[in-house]
Parts: sequence; structure tokens; C-alpha cells
Amino acid sequence: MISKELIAASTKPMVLSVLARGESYGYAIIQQVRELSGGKLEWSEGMLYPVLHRLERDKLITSRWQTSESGRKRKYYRLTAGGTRAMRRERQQWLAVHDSLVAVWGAAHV
Amino acid sequence: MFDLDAAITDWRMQLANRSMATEQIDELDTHLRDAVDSLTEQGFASPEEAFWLARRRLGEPQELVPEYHKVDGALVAKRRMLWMMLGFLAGGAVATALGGLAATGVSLAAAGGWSGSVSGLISVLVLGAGWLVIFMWGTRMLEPGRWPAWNARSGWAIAAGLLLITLMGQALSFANSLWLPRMMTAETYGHSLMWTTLGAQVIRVNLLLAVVIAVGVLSGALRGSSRPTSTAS
Repeated sequence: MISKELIAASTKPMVLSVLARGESYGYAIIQQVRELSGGKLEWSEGMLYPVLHRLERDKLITSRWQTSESGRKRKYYRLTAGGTRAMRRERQQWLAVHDSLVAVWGAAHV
Repeated sequence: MFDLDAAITDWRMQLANRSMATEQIDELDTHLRDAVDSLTEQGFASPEEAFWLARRRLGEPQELVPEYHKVDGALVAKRRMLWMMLGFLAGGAVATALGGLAATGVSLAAAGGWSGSVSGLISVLVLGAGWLVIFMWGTRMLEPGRWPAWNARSGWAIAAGLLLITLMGQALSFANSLWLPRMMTAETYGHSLMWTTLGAQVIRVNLLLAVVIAVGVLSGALRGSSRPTSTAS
């Protein structure tokens, strides 16, 4: 079970990275994160939307409404150029943390 | 029999009452329906159970809305400020329009041969009735669902409406102030003006204050528990 703090901290890079794979909408993003993490990353669903709202306000993502074949109106998000840059920065930082931890653990022969 | 659309409408209302923007509510609405579909398709739940489960997973309105407000707290404050200023401007526009109508009341009474004092009082009555009608209409329009949904043109429509009302009021006032001194003696004009000025003050301050307090106390809005709380059936 991943702690609340870690989930909160990883939401932004997670959303940016999912959207880097292509345009998507809230419900599908949640499903995708659940599948990719093998169920280890369990988001409280309502948390995602304020995050999307903030990322859009910060111009890292843009949105458009589109009606699906079932007639349901969905808000699709995609990365902006700034969002792509932010995603790369996040990746560097997370990988740096990850590599450091692995190096420490490796040294300790865990 | 469970009515999903009614339950969702009620839930939307709770979000709207906590001043969430319509576009955000629409997005959550779609999420909720997607989640309900997915739960019922798997055969896990009846539509009613699916609705409650999906709603819980998404978060109750009282938890959900503060999360948005955290993101744009400054924006919410700015929006409230704009609404207050809009109310102030609308009050000015209505006052101008009713002032024009009241002046027309004086002109008509004077044309009918009434004395200055009577003409002045008639204009005061016109003004009072006008404010009362506006106020009644305003309180009725405050009920949820009375206004059409806000769209990109709404701001322009409101601005144009206020400008039109103000210009009409000013044109009426101007026409009357050109016409009245020419057809009344100075004394009659002075009498009517005295009543109109005093009456306008009494109505704009005393009468409106009395109505606001009366309606506020009657509806419970001034007792601090005005937020309608509704539950889905």
C-alpha cells in the first residue's frame, strides 16, 4: 500500500506521463493508472479533477469537449509544449531519486 | 423506483450550491455516469447501488469542492467581488430607470392638472412600486434553476442589458427635465421636486431596508441557515 503523501506527490508526474501517451479524459486516466500500477496506485477519484484543473490553469495541459459515440460529453486533455517539458523535468527528478535509493540499497545488500 | 437522472440532478445541485462551476460539474457528471455504467455492466450492482458507490468513490460534495477552491482560491474571491460589483451596477441601472419612470409620473400628473405636491407623491409611488416589483422578481429568480445556464455570451448580454436600462432611464429623465419646467410654474415645479427628492431617498433607503429585513427574517436567510440541504431519494 503506497502512502497518501507519496500518492499525492506522484499525481502530477503520473498525469503528465499518462497524457504524454496520448489525449485522454478523467475516467480513462484513472483506469489507466490503476492498470499500469497493477492496482498498487489507488487514487481517490475526486482528487484527480482538481489536479487536472490546476495543471490546465498552469498551462501544462489543454482541454476540449468532445461527444462520444454514446452521446456523452467528455473533457479530453492533452499536453502542451510546456507540459511536455514539465514531464521530462519530473522524470529526471523521479529517476534521480529512484537511482539513489537503488544505489543505497544495493550497497547495503538488501 | 430509482431514477438515476434525478439522483444525478440532485447531486449536481449540491455541487452548484457550493459554487462549483458548471463546466466542472459537467465533467464530474460524465465521470459518475461512466462509473455507474461500468459497475452495472459487470453485474455487481443495481443502478441505485452503483450510483451510491460511484458517488462515494468520487468524493462527497463537501470534500470535493474545497479541493477545487484550494486550486483557485484567489479566483473564487475575485469572482465574488465581481458579482458584488455587478449587483452595485445593476442597482444603479435600476435606480436610473425607475428615476426616469418616476419623472414621467410627475409629468403625466402635472399634465392632468394635479398640484406639484400630488404630482411629486405620485412619482414617489411609481418609484416605490417599481422597486418592490424588482425586488420580488429578484428574490424569485434567486431560486435554483431559474436562470438559464451561463455561457460565453451571458456577460455581454448582462452588460448590454444594464447599459440599455441605464440609457433608457437617462433619456426619460432628460426628456422630463426639459419638458417639466416649461409646463409648470416655478412654484409647482419646486413642490413636486421636493417630494420627489425626499421620496426617492425614503424609498431607496428606508423601504428597501425594511423589505430586505422582512424577507430575510421570514425566509430564515438572516438566521444563517439559508443553504438548502436536499437529499436524493
